[in-house]
Amino acid sequence: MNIQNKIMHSLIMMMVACSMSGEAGKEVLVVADSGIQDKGFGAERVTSDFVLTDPAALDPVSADPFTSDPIPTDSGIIDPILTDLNVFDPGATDTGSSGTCGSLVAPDISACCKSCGSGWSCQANGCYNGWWCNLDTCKCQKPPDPAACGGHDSGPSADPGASNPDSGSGGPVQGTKLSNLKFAVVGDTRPPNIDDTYGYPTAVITKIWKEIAAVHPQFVISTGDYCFANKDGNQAAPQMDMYLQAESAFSGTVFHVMGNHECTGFTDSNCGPGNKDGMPVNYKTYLAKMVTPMGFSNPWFSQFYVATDGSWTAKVVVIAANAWNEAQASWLDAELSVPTTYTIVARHEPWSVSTAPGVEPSNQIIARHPYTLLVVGHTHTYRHNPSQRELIVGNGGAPLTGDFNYGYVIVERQEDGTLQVAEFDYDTNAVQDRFVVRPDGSLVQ
Amino acid sequence: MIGWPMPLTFRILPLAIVLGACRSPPRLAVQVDKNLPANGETVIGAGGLLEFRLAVPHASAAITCDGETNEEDWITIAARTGAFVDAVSQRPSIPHSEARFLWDDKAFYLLLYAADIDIRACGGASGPEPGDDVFFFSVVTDGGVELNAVFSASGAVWGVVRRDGQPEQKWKPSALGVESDGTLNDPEDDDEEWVVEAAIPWDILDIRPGRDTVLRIALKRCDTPKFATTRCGSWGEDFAGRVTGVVELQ
Repeated sequence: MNIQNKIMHSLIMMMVACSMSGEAGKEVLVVADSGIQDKGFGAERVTSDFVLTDPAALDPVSADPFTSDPIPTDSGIIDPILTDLNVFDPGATDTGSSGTCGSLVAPDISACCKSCGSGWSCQANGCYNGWWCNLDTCKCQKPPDPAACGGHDSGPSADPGASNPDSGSGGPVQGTKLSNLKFAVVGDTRPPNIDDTYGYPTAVITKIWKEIAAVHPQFVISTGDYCFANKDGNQAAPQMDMYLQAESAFSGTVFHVMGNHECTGFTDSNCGPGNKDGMPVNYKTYLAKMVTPMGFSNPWFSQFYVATDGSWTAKVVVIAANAWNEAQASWLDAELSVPTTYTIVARHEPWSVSTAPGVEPSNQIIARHPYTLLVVGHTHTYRHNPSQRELIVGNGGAPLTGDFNYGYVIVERQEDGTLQVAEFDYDTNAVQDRFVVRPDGSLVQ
Repeated sequence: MIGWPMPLTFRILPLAIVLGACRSPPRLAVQVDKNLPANGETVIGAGGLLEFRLAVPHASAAITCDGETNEEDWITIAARTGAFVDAVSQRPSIPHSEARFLWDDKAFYLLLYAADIDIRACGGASGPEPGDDVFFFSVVTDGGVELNAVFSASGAVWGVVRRDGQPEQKWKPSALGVESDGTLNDPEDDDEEWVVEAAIPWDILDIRPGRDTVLRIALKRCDTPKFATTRCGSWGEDFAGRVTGVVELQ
């Protein structure tokens, strides 16, 4: 008899014994008084069937506006379809900081742009990070081609932090060119107890990031919960520093999804100006360490990608369900309205966790648009829910609740246009689960 | 030496029988989850058994057993078991469980942590039901006092104390708090964790605590995840079910 059977056998025998003793009038066991508390984090299950608004739009060739007319990503031209999107261009170039170029105004000249959010050093033209203001649209964009403007200095800047995102007020947008779509997903890396920095799962997340770096994904989505800290205490920063230290093994772009622990810790919390939980230290720390360095000013943002051969496009749309407001709702609807071959929506809470303020509203918006995968965390395990095209990746170091060991996911586009999703055990590197989806998210059997 | 877990109303297994169940010493060393800090050491104890020893510090301030871990001592100085392990493979068990210990002049304090995707606690006065999520706890003193208890996620505790030559005595903690992050007995959603904070008064163990006081402790947590079979992880127990956890008050 193995140990588990032995335990259950003992448990059953104990109950039998207890029952017998009860029958005999000899009370052996007692129920102690307790101070049970329920934080009310429980989630209600929500089920929904998706109705694609336009299934034809999922055709990777015919419905893709970029296939026949790829975005000229290096020219500085703004694609009208993609304007007013909160994205950045890692391939932006720095043309200079003075003068004008047609309707474009350099950083040191006062202009009509208003792209500067809180936490950014605003230029005279209303942009930041060296970007220029387009007087025709009052929107910022990357510096113009120096050859077209009489010889401004230029230099490549592959650092996403050198880009000029705009959180809703418009900005230059282009898809970053990729030779293939290959990205990783990791999520939920908090200690078991609040402020337990000593118990941070450093070894797990360090190993995970080294393994991710070794497979060279083009970007990584981290699904949130980088800390477990008192919302206004001083432990969020050291815990996030531990996370970022582990993450430093990977030099590429990382999209840091906001988790409930980046707000107050409660799943029903809602941070941000004007929201009920305001700006606790955890939230501000997250913004400072994980959002603004990426070039974003809000915890919701997106990025567009274009195949170098123009054969496909993709977008990653990151939702902050614990910083939910109407502005984000409008932004999300607009982002998801832009047709791309692949749409990866990322959020911390899964579809069914309706206690998070932004889950049900964003579910409704998501359901109105085509998408390939909804990448989430929150639940400390790995799971694929085909009915919602949902991929739960929450086994990044937080105490495991399900059947899977700590690990991460690699998503890679195949030659036939499908995406292969593989979940890896961080300890053995063995694939624990694998499936393939079409661009519309349907499962390839 | 006792076997573990055991029915609460069963007698202690004779040492000879326990040893007879496993003639050779365990080949697998006790391992602590390398990903979680623990402040213990593994030593070869009496009878060739591998023992896992923890030094348990005195609390610097009062512990309020409310299920919250907001006392700084739980974070900074408490003895940590690290992740419970599967008794056979000695690998960290899934779902994750761990425990911490403190003491003061009044009691020995337990902090039990259980990650749990589906918190179940259906047991009533007669005991837990099959599939309930529980911690088994056993402590044995040099004075021959043995306390066995089962802690449920609902806050129910079923416990007995045995003393040599005396009838069993029912027991409950002098203070207990359970906090759950999730919904009890609702498999339709995903839960997160539950925490037990309990005080075991010294008088029930017939102990006047002091530095170098030694207790033998075993802990086991059993869980039945959704769509899966019951799995257990333990600390202070070898694969033959013997108590191998030794805590020494500091």
